[in-house]
Amino acid sequence: MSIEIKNITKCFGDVCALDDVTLSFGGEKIYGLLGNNGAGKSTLLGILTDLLHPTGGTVTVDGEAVSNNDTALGKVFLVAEQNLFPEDMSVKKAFGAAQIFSAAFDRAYAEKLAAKFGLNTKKKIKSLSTGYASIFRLIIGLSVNTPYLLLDEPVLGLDAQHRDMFYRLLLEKYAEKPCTIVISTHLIAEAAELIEHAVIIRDGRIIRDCPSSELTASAYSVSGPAGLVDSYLEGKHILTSNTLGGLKTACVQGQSDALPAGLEFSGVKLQDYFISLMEEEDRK
Amino acid sequence: MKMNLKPAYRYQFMSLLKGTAVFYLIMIVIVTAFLAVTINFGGSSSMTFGGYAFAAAVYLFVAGIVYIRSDLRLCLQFGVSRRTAFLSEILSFLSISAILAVAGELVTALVRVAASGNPNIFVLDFYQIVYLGAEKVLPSFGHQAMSFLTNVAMFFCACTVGAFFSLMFWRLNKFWTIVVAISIPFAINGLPYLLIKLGVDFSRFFAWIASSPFCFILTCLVIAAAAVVIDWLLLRRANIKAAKN
Repeated sequence: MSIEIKNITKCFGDVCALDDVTLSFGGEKIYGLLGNNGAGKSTLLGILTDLLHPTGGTVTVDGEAVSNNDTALGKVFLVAEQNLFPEDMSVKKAFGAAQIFSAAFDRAYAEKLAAKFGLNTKKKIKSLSTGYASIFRLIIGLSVNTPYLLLDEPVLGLDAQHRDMFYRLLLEKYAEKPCTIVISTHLIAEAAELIEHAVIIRDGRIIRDCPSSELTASAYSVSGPAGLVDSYLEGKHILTSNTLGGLKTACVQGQSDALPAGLEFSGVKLQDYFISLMEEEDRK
Repeated sequence: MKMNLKPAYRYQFMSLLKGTAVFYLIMIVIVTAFLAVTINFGGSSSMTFGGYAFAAAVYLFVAGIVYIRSDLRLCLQFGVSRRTAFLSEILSFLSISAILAVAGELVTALVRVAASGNPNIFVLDFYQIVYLGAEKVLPSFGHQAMSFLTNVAMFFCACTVGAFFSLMFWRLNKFWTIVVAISIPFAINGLPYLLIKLGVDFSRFFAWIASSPFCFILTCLVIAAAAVVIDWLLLRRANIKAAKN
């Protein structure tokens, strides 16, 4: 039971947004789809929900192709970065529309969340601020109860309190009704606690696809006097390094060995690993 | 393969029906106002009520432009495939066309009743003007049934052609949008002129259409069928773009 993406390519004119992408989302896990701006994250999510037609390749949901397939598409809900609802529709009417389309939509829960976030359901969607437009889409996503929930930049424009509220609600929902969740976000540090499996995409290609614990365990950070650090780093795979005054910090790929005296070791967080990886890719 | 047609049709039909109810209400208000003025203060001046079918066709053409994009977005948002969304849109267009055609027969019949005995009020509609002549005659039930069919065909054609323009401009990039937008007035005005100059005789075609309502219905259905096919070809691989917000 999974979303299988096989050899997906998507080109917009001369620009290749996705290049032969093969991966899978399933097992009721929380995935993090991470990448820089323009990496192809939204394009990939658009293809999974048939909003975009791939140039090549196939996408299946639980073994059924998504293209023109109501059964497959009905199992996936995308909280898109942009608005797919009619502009003149009110939040309340959008809840009504969700009820028409999805029998599993929990209207009472949606109303409860709207009250919790302070979202005025009488307001038209086009009149909502960026933050509240995101909240509106998140509420629908949290209430629709599909086996696969895709979140594209879910906390866009949300203040810190609302972001925290959303992450807690998402976890509550996941604990109550486990489903496969894919979060595409730039705010990696905030979402890192949620992400069980990280997929890192760059220039339309998947460069990492493994459990986030494996990624963070695959590198470590070492810091200390620049000279000591430099001699320690000899022959090692350095992802990134920064020098400030006489102190140097480096992120190293691999398992740490015995450190010489005067150097400090620390594990890397998902965001640090991501930044190091991107910097390494930049150098290539 | 299971099709999620029912919810898509229910949503699209209801959303079209709401817009149509507003249009119909406006038509009733306009007609009532003109009737009241003509009956009470008109004196010897006459009033002709005869634009319902064209007004409804223009409304449905615009509805075809407006609704197809937003309905498709919402359907895909809720996991309804583009094929099901398109099919339910066509069914909604057909249903609304039939409802507006029935409503048209009803409104003309009501105006006739309201104006009965007043020699200054002429109640006509497209079918009556083209196929019965513009004389003040009371159409029979058979004529009203034919008028209904003629209007359904015309309205459905208007919706599908409206949807065609909407989808075409959705697919075009900025450059081709400008090119096509400039070309349309030329195609409407210049092309017929050019064809006439080249010896193409349109009068025979129009005479054929005017010869029988079935010819008109057939023409509308052929245009509608072509529009439906082209609409689907434009839609099936289109990148569904989000609304602004």
